[in-house]
Amino acid sequence: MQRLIPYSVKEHPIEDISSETGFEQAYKTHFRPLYAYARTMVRDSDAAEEIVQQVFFRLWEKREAVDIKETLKAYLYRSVFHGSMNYLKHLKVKETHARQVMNETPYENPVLQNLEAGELEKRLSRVLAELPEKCRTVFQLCRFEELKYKEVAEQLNLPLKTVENEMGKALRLLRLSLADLLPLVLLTFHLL
Amino acid sequence: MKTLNDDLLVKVIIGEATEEEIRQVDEWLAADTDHRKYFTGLEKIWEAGTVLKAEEDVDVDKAWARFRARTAQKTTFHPQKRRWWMAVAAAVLLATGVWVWSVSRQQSHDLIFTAETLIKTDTLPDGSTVTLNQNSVLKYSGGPAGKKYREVTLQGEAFFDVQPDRSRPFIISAGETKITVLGTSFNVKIRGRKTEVIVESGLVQVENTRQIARVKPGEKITADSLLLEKHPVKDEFYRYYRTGKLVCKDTPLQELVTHLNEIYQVNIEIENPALHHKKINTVFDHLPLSEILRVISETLQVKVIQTPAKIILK
Repeated sequence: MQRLIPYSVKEHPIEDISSETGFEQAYKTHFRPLYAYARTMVRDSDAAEEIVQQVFFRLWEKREAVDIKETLKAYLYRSVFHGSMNYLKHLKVKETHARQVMNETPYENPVLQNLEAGELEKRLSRVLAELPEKCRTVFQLCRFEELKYKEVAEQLNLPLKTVENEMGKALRLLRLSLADLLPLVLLTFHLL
Repeated sequence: MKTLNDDLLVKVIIGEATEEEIRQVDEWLAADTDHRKYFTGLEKIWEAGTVLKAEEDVDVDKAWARFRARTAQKTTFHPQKRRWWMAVAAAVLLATGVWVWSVSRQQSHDLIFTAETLIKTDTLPDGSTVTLNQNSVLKYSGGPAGKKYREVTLQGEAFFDVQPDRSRPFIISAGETKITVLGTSFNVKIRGRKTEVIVESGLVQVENTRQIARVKPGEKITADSLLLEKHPVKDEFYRYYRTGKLVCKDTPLQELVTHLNEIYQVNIEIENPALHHKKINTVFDHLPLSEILRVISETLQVKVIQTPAKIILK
């Protein structure tokens, strides 16, 4: 009945989620960073919590039979990524819809508006959601959880080289999406 | 400009590069000012990320309690999958949880559940579940565990599935209407001064300052401070926010339009009075408004005209 989800690297504890205490431990270990992940994706704390709760809830329902080929962490991050994308998709449908019908101005996320960030940061938060899953998750761990490449590779059970590639890809794609803004940003940078 | 591998540049920016790699990048940077610009661009993007780091304003233990409340509710539906000792263990855990919760709640005050843009399902401390529609708030009043009533105050709309407990009636204050139940499921919707209650199972008592009435499954009551009016429930539109389905059974167009206007926050008008009573029979399952309008237009052979202020059917 019990199925273990081992990390490939020995110094990491094995996370056995088939027992209640094991599940609780896994929940308490991963909830906060996953919540932070969902928040950077959807920019809404209520929605972020709901997304993470649902990921754990689905895992809970199949905890005795689940077969996770990667690490639990990789599985959870992937699920939160897709949960966030679904949420954003729904939001977008609603938004375009309201705009078509009511002839309204484009939807602006109030959280973003209140965020005291420059144009670059605002745009960055939007284009971050356009990165592919693996790329986005690796970026999340390096940037927001401030992990080293080696740690990311261990925790997601990826080769170190893949982490390097994904990070290179992440910044390359972000640079392309923000290309129109960069000259301006660099200009102000040089003036300062 | 000679390109260098982005992976390498990124490694230097975030401090993952070896000395040899740093030397390589330095050489490349010195070779051309465009190289420097390209590099600084990537660097700026990396730095911009710090601003976006979400502040962690979440209490993990509380999140876990909310999660357990959810699973405790659901697991009871699949008892056959569990061995008896697991059920006992779960019961003990749950009882301990409820005890810890009720003890901790004696010090705290009210529990507040809010749903803004998302529809939310939550479990209350007594085991009842509530699905809150958008823009709704529910307050569960705390106090000692031995209290004679379970009291909640609602603004907006919610569906309740109340945990049976004959010794402690569940009382909902909804505007000027008071709803008392023992254990049952029903929908409550408050709009301005009116409160509408639709019962799905069990029995519900609704009262205002003057009257008192009992509502059975399949019945709907509309209450304001003076009047209670009972009607049969003819449609399933009140379920929409939970199911995403608009079920039309011989539904007059006029009525469907009223619901669409409320759900999608639009202004649809029927220009030709002959259309008001045209019947519609279909299920719109998670469809956008444009699709629904297309189906109406095709089935009833009506024209849909969109203007900035409204949508006209004729």
